[in-house]
Amino acid sequence: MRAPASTERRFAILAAAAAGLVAVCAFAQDGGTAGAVGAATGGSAPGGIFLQTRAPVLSPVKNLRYDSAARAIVTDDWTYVLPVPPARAAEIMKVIAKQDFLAADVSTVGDAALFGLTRNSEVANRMLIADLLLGDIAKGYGYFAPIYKTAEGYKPRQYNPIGRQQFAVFFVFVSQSWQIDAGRLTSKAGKLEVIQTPTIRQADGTRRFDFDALKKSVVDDAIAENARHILAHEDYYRRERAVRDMQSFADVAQLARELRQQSVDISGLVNP
Amino acid sequence: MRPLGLVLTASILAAASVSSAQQPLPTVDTNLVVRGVPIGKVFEKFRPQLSAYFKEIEAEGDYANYSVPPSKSFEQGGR
Repeated sequence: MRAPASTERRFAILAAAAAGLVAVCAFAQDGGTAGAVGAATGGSAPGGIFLQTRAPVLSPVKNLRYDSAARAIVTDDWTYVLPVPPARAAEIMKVIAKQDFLAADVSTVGDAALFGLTRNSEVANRMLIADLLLGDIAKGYGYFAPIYKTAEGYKPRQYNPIGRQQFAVFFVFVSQSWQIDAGRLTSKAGKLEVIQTPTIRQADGTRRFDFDALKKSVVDDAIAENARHILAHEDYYRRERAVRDMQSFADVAQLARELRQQSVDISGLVNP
Repeated sequence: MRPLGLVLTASILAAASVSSAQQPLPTVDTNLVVRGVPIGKVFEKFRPQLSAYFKEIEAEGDYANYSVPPSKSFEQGGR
């Protein structure tokens, strides 16, 4: 439990939060994907897995229902077979009922920051696994190196975790578009994004965007090289089940947002 | 009576088999330290989740990106 803050400290925290909020808002305007992440998470925990959704485009649905036997969401115009177990789809939908994204981040001290997700839930755990695996390559730590085969035997460059400037890396998954083929609705995956962000460690141990460093486009060369490698071999790393699951989660999240836009009660749509 | 060559070959094969059974698999670097930061300990905090994941993909043969069966190998690192 956190100790009660003194009045002075509370004012300092509030002032910092207000200043941070202004910076986050400005960043959200022109920061691209990183800006979207910053806005979504209030500038905190800018690393890990970020499952983004885009503006809804599906036509109004008619006679929507969940077919538990087929594990599919069915309408008069299309059927969407869940790409994940129903319990995970239900959890994703409950989160998207309240926000437009899912995010999970393993911090450098081994804690997990979860945004709207339930701790130790199947979705949260799988997102953390994906972050651990991809993050290990992106930062070149080498924890999994003895058992993991990188694409083309690549040896990741090691990031310096105690350098003057700290960085976080986040991996962004998104559903790019919908296709309806023979009555079946499917999602086309968007290209993976691997984005590094300069960060500042807060007094409470959490990390926030370093907006000054962002303005100066400060980057870490090791992470940049490793990120280029991951992106150049995206298909290879998508063979990893946890990575494939991230795309499936993003697809379900996108559908959830589409249905939420149409006033569907997505919280109770899928009964595991 | 068996030819000596056959007996020797069988003995060598048996010895090699025992040796390979005792050979530990490579495993994750639990004691990894990067510039003084105990990164291995950060990953180890998620050992239960990683263990469950590796069991799942190994049981279903879905581990093409690994050089060894990940669950068996990972568990050795936890001893």
